[in-house]
Amino acid sequence: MSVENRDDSSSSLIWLRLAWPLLLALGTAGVLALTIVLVGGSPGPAFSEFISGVIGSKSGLGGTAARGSMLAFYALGIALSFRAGILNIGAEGQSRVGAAAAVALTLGAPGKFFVAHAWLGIPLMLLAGAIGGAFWSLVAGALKRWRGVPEVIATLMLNFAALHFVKYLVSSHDWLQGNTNFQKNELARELQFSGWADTEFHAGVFLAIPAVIAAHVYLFHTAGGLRLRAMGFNRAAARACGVNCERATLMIFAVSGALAGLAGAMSVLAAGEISADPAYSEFGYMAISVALVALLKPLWIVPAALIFGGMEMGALSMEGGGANVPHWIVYFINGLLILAMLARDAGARRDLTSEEGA
Amino acid sequence: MSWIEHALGSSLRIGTPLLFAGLGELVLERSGMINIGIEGVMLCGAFGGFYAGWAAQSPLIGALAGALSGAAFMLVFAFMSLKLRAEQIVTGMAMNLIAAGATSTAFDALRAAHSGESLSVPVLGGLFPQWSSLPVVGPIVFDQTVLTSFALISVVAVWFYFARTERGLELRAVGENPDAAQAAGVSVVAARVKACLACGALCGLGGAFLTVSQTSSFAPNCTSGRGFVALAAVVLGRHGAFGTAAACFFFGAAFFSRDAIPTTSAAVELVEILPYALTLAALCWKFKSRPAPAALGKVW
Amino acid sequence: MALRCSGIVKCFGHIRALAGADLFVRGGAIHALLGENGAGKSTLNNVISGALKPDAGTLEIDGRSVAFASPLEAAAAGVGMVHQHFLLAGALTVAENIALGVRSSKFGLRFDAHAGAARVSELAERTGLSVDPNARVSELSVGMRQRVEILKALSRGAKVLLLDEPTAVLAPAEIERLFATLRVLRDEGRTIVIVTHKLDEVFALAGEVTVLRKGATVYAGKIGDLTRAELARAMIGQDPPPLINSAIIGGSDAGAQHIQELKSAPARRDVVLKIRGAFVRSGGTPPAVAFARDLAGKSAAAPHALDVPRLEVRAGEIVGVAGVEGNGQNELAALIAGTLESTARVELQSFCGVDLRPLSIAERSDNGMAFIPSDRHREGLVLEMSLAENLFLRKPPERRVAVRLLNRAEMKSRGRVLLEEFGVAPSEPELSARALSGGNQQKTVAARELSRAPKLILACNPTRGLDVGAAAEIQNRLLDARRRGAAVLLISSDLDEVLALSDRVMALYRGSLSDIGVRGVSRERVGRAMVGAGDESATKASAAAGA
Repeated sequence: MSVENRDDSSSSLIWLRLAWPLLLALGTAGVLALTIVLVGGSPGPAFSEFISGVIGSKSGLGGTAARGSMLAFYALGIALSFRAGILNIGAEGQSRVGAAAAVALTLGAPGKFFVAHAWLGIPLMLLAGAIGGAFWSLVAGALKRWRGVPEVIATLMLNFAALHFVKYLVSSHDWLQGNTNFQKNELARELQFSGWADTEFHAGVFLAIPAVIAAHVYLFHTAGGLRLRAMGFNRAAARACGVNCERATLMIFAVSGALAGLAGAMSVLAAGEISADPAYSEFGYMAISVALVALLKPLWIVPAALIFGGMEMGALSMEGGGANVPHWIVYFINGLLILAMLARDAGARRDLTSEEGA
Repeated sequence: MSWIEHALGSSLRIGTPLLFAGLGELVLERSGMINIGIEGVMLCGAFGGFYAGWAAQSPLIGALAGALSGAAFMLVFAFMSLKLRAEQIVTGMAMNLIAAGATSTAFDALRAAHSGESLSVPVLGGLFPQWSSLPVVGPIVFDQTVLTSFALISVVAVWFYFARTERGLELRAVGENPDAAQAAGVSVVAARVKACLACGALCGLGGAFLTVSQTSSFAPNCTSGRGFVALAAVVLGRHGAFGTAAACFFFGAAFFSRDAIPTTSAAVELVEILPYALTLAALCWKFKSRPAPAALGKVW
Repeated sequence: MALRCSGIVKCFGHIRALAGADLFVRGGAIHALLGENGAGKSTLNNVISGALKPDAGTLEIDGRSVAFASPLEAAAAGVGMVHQHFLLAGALTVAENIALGVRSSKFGLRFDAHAGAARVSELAERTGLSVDPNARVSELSVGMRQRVEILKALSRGAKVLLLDEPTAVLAPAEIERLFATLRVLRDEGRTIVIVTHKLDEVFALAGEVTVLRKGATVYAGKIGDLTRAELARAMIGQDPPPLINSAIIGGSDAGAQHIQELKSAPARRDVVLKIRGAFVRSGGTPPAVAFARDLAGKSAAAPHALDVPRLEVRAGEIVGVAGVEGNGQNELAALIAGTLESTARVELQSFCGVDLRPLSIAERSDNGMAFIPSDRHREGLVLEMSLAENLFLRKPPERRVAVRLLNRAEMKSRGRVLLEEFGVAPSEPELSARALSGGNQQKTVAARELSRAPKLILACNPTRGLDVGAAAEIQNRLLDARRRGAAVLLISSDLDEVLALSDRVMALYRGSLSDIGVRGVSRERVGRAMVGAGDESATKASAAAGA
């Protein structure tokens, strides 16, 4: 993956390089307005609903933060994978498996124990989520390593498989049957994340910050991170320099899966229930645009994720309110943003590759 | 008609959108580009086909519109990959998101604007219905809609193009070594743009099949992963027309068995997994294959 | 057809590849375009053949001014080019490659494979370049592929044939055959321009010569007007550095003292690298199958990609492995460096007495093995990273601040010292590796590998594509290492380099490694081994150890 700030010397485009976040924001607003008009609404009231949905109320802010943290975890995993040259887009499925793994801990006798000792139960559930996600991701990793299956297809297929499988688990009451900790799929009160005044905000949101910092330090200030980035740029050269590419590849699959699974477990803990469909659907794919807009830099992922989370909240409130713009528009905008980031990166690359051998 | 004939015929029918998408991706990959966004292109075609088919109340117009929508959408991919030389895989992901968002939004808006009406497209007929009473071949090949017959013809057409025409040879060269093709006087960009358009038209037809033939209406995300299965079919089919067709038929059978297995409420979800699991399993078995075009996915 | 270029200027960004180059070629002659790597010869060729448009300057064919917008137009005017890196589509057959781009019907919808093959055979007969029209190009040897390139240009009716470094990838016998073909074509009345940096070839083949230096013409005249040494001076712009490459200076005094030092045979020292009975199966990758059909048309896919019955390298000596590209060099290097991806059966492989087989790549380099890969862009450097990051990728310096962190300050300071020591310019460690020229990039790789005082240096084509100055520096480094007692295994397709540097010479042909002799062995003998026409003893040894 080559989306990265480059050391380029072309001065004509420097203003572009500095101004691009502003351009991006303006472009997004423009596209949104255009779509609103096309769909038959009027931009003015729609935009005000959008904005009030994000920052106008406690639930808006809480929702933005909650969504932002989900996206941040997904995007972190994606950024690490892309930097290692691995196109792991299985966050959706890995997250679901993590969620199911976390819930599995609440079943039966062990479940009763954890309810009584929530201080132990909650971290263990999060750990289970991470392990579940890592496992699901490693399935794709193993397929790539030992059978050469391209990870793009493998993780996508596994996404669908996970979604349906967990849906089956949840819908068939057998799985949750003996679980006296569940009343109609609800998690026992003790095991929920403390919310904040009836909003979606939960304690787990804060976990995103240390994760991002750890990733940044790893990537840019450790020998392992140096090797990983080298592998992402040029696998053959990295291998010739002693980097164990196979082991590093599997490790990245595991780490990105763990991040997604952790987020999945958190969403279950926060919601207090596991429903048949994922709480925030398609976030795994939207996180790709978050990662790209953040230029695959961990520290930039938090603000990027918050912005995208806000966009989701705004779109939801636009849909619910009178403007009647379906919230699918967010996918559309996400896709456009990815293209914009690719265009920006391609422009930077063009300056460098205009030499031919003599 | 016997159970086998029904199964085979249904597999062919259900595999038709896969076949269109597979052929489209095949043409594109042999020109050296890889588009994982054909799911989005199919959605574009599905919606375009639905809209035109409903507005004109004609399934054939719908199919044509589906092809045109797909081709138009692929121009975005052509621009990103050829002019901007962007990373093709990520571009494809973006196209999936864009199409999902745009078509679902448009459909919701349409439904809201025409609330109360049922939005549907008339049923599509077959090409040679009178031959469907032939033994064996009849129910399988001829008791199909026009689109399926067209798909079968397309398989032969694509094969002929690559094996027996000069333009096909040029496209193959573009996919193997664009520098060599260019040195020989072939315009690489022009050839790849045409491949994009052909891919778009075929995938668009595949999507349109879902809304004008298989069902008669649109639903958000109605392609549900078929585009990705088509990607796998091209790999399985060793990048050849007949191989891809065979792989698509196989996956069509997988989808059919998913629908045919009688299930109770929750277990239906488990059966839903079948096509995706089979895709993965099939990809695990490496056939001694003709390798993919040498320049596949490389920025030129 | 006479060809004249005047004042051709071509810039790529801020790099000036051609700064007013002139060329005048008489019709029906063989003209050599001479210059060191980076002088602009290939660029000039590309301008003449229509692949590049000049920023300034004129081109005339038979007195008529022409401007080609594309290679197709040039081909129509009778100018054909044979590229250094062949522009052929491997998965297509010979006939398909030759027919590519020629539309016989209006919509290009019909393609008759048989007629195409027949046309190719007929053309091949006429020119004496026999080739199987239905063979897949990826299965042909390098020499055969070059024939296909030539046939392709001829099939478009080329009256002017431009060849870009055609002998770089050929064994001596194949070079002879190529020259014979070129003479035949010249006698038919065609004009031939051959780009090269090897003086021997210029004197053997051409009638006239033009010398390019730094993108401009510095000399043009008939062969024989200048001596070899004077031509070399024109090429390099000064007296050649104490260079051992005899093809450039052939017998001048400047290189004599180095040759003197090398003539003193090294004392019998310890064996550093020992390999016995190494056998690598042919994979599906093209290089292994490249020699399936050789120039004589004999076909037989070799069962192995590499067959080494015995290889020993001692401390303080340079063992050179000569061979045409694609005969197992990559596999041999990968086997020793540890990057081999296919399975190998090795009886014995020891490094300083330690069994090498279980060691990982990192462990091998920790134990004192240095590896200069053949392709510096693909395997040598990570172009997107900085010089410092590249230099320390193997073993990044670390410091402890609660966790083990990268010591970037140390990387920068030590990096600068290293870059200066190895003559890399600019010696700025934060610079991206991509920004350096080829020679400086190779010097960076050398800095990374040789600065750790390794016991064994595996050097593959270390001076390929480098200008004379940089090449000399790299070769001197290898000699320094030899003096300090390191063992050097030099795998190079440049026969002159192998002959000049090596204490012992081996040859690699179709994966079989055979001993040829010690320093002083004749060029002809090595040349014969490179195409498999070697000594009886060599063939018997590999036959006994193989299969």
